[in-house]
Amino acid sequence: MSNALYIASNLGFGYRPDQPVLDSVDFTVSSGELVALIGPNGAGKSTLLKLLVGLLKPSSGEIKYNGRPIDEITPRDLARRVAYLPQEDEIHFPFTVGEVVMLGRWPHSGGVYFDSAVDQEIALRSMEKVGIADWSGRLVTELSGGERARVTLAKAIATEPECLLLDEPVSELDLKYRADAYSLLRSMVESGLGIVVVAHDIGAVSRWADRIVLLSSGKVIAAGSTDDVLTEGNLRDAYGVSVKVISDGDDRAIFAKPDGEGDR
Amino acid sequence: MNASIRTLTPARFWLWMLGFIAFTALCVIIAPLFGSETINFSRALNFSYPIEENTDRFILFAIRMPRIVLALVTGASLAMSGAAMQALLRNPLASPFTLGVASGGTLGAALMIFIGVGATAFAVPGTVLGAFVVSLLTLALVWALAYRSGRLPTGMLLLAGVSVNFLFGALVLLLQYLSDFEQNFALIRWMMGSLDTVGYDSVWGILPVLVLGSIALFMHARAYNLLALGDEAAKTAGVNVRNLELTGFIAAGLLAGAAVSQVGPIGFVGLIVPHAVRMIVGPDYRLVLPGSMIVGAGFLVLCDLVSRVVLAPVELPPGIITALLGAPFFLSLLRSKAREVVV
Repeated sequence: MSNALYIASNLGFGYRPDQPVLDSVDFTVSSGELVALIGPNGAGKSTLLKLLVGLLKPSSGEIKYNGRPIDEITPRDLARRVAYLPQEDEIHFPFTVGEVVMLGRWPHSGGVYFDSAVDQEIALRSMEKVGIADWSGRLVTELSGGERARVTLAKAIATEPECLLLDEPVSELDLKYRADAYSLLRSMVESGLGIVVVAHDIGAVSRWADRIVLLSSGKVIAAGSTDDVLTEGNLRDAYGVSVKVISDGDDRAIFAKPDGEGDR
Repeated sequence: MNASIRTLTPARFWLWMLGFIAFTALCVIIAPLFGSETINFSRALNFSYPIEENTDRFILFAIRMPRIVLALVTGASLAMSGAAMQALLRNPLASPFTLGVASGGTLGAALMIFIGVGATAFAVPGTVLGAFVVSLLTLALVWALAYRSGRLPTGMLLLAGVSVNFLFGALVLLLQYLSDFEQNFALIRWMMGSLDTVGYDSVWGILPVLVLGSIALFMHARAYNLLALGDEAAKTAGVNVRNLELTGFIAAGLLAGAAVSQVGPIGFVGLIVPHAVRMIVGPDYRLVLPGSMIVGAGFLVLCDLVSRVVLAPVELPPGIITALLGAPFFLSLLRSKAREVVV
């Protein structure tokens, strides 16, 4: 049984009135599904996530979470249910990995000065899931980009949300950790989470996602199953480049053809 | 396999705090023993004579003790204000004076000296009132300059603070140029800072701000940790970033403003004490904020002691000592612990 978590309808947004970043976008996420948000650079993918999580306010349209408009939900309450992973992480002081993951518990225990044993237990379990259980004493400022991506993922999981919004969580991960991360997300989806992933590795996404939403120039070009969305025609329209899709069972490889090579 | 996270438990918190309190207590015990006059302690603690006839007791209780208490509250205020500024600006190089509180205070004091306002209502010296009011106006000005549609970009704040520092520095120079010899001397002495006091009037000018400011900052210590992961991380965790910044800047500004108006712009305490504490306990603001308050208090008492005895009977301005003592200590800490070198 899946129920809708987010229902966003007719969303519009622009930093300037004459330059819309998003234009009449409909978007839903239900519990127990992994939705991949793909599209060229500047299509509005990150903007859509920021609208969903309340960092930006839509200029038109409506966003409901669990049937309630998100303006009516307190930021703290929304933060307990939805964990958001921004594309770029910032860290200004040398916290340890454990301290950062513990901060994922803030929405639940922000008013308390000291850390509880329960929170520590949950943080540790999240680190185990991401495979970084023995990193708790390492300094985040000394980690590589890919390692930090795994730490911030563990932090998001530590919130124990109903819904995860991840902006390019795997782009800095190598081949193995990318597969690990996707299979972890898959297992969380099976246990009932709703997950949205912004990704550029369309081929990999097609294997793991239940649904794909293709965004281009602020509009939804196609949405639905992998087969429906990842057609050469849709991708050419979205990315403005001729592509070739090669399928092998569940796996797909997508190649862009440079200008001039044309369709063959 | 290291399956545990270093969390902040009350036991760990109090262990650190007791260590810091021990340092500060030691400074407070040692400080009254030394000074330009040698005092006889058995006489000073003999309460059978009236204080007017007991010079030793007068020196200890009316001169040295108030001065130590003033150094305590000033050091605590400046160091905690610095720790808060570093949290709010997400910048380990920030200090209580980054946003112009000190240059504003100096301008206020300079104006009062130039106009010739000696004392104001309730016997508050003109320089104190002028410095306090203008330092807070400066913070409001910097805030207004940086504020952009509901947001307070830290880059804009820093630039606005630096520009206002230059502007006010020039205005102070202008006032100095227009002042006579006596006014100039008064202003220069004020700018060097002084903990010279008789009685507790100056302490009462700082203490209420210290109590209220520390409560406001401690309440949000954990949220400052989230702020270190960025605006968006804090907002999407449900932190009201605007309120957090508003209360934080007001508290840090009042702390620095109150201290500067009473004792002048004593630098360095607010920059290096939070750093030193962070190098010892890590970046968790739940330890850094109270730790800075306690260590800052002891550090300034120690600096004041050195300033009184090193060239006795001549007293050096405490600001010179905070830098002379603080800089080498800080540099050695920096070299021995690479942990914090992420500027």
